[in-house]
Amino acid sequence: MSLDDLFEDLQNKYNETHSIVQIHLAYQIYVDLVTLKKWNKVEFKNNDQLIYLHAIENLNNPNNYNIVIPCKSTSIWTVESIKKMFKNLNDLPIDCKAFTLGIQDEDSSISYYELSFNTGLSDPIDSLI
Amino acid sequence: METSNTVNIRSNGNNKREGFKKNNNNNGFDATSVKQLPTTSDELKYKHYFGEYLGYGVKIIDYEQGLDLYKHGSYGKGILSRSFPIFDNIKSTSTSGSGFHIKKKENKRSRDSNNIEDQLLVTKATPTNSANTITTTTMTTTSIAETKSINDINIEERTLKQQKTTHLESNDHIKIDENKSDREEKSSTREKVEYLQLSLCEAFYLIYSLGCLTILRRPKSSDKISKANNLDTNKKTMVKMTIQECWKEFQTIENSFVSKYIAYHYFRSLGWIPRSGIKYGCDYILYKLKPDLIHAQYGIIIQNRNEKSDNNLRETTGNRIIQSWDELSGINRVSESVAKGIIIFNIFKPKNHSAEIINRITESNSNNGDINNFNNRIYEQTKIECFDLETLSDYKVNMWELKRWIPNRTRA
Repeated sequence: MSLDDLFEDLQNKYNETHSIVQIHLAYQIYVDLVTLKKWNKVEFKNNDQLIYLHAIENLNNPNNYNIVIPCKSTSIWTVESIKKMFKNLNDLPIDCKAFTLGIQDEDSSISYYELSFNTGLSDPIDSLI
Repeated sequence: METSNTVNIRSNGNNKREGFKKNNNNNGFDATSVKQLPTTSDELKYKHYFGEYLGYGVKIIDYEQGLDLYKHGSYGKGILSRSFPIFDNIKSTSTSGSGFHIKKKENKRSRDSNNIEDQLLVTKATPTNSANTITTTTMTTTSIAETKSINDINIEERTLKQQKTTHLESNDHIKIDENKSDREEKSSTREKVEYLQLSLCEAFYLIYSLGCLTILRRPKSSDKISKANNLDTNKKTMVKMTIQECWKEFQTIENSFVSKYIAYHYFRSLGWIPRSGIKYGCDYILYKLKPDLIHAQYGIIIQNRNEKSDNNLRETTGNRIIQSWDELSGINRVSESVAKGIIIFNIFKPKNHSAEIINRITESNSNNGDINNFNNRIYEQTKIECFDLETLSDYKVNMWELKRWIPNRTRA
């Protein structure tokens, strides 16, 4: 399926519930991951508020997936909003502890930042046992 | 309240303007085809570009126009490349996925009928309430204190010369050919995926200061479109955005648009090329020549001084004021590792600035890509302070350069 068709599909699918800006942002991330970085499998998912992507880099390693959430570089963040957003994501695998933000600037530069709730820091004494 | 502005044509030594008819009666002109717009006459070497408003940026519709626009001053960025849109020149079987290598073999494409001038049909629409403005793009003169004249800079760097004066009485509707059958024939050759995307500041600079871009948007329900040209049903109708409309719209979707635009305009007028600083922790980075040649010299951080915090207005302005040493230290550390100097750019609002407070009602169901905004399917009313375009020339700026001084290294 060509990318133009994909964009049309996305529009038809999400036009009622999501804004055109979100569709563009999600599409841009898709194009970046699939055509530039050559990731194997990238799917679109959505909840009521946003469109996000479930991306697998290498099909040989399907457990190494990323939930990518597109957003604008001018978004303002709080810790509560991030937590709230994470809770609102649908169809997540059970042990999903992290998601990636695909932060886009207006001229389509993308920076990816991963946010995780498990910092991996364990109590030092426990780790010695 | 919109007033009509007078025509202000300043020629750059090229006085021939055949094909541009000026109607002296009502200070407007009739254009029935793209070729009659001031910047698209065959005798002039300047092009007029067309972009589609995406909601957070502007996309240049035609690929060739995008390339041309980039070549004339490094505006915008290809969506699949770091700067110049070269993704389509790469062999599809290349193992590395990056867009940095230019291979010698190019895919030959026959793009005979994709000349956008043939496809565009400028039709006049009945004036609507929202867009009944007469707009002029004039050359920016002293729009911001301490700018040099634009002429000096353009001779050095760009062949595109600025044109002024597009007078429009109403929204012009432009139909874009979406001829599907044409595209199917070309699917055997590789489809061009990439296009050039401009940031809002770049797009506004092109329409306001240089007058060489037209921004189109999808029609909203409040637009009245004449149904006169219904012959071509596969043409999509888009609405042209006037300068005032763009100015208001960009301010409402991005909180700090005015400050960012002031900085962009200032540095562009001096001859620098400001680009997105998202990867370097600052607002802009400045290139002296085109980005492909040398790395950027400076990173810019914009600070709004005299910013009142008013609870009735929008809560977050996205304005960064550096208030402590650790912030400065963090910025400095990043800039050292990316080898750029830091410039703090202070903007001072004029005391008698005029602003209207408009109620922006979000019609869309969702949050426009802003993650913090979870109001869903509700008509949300936010109050936004919308500054007048005319006050742009009253802003004052100054700059500091930041450098770390290490005592050990400066000893003799």
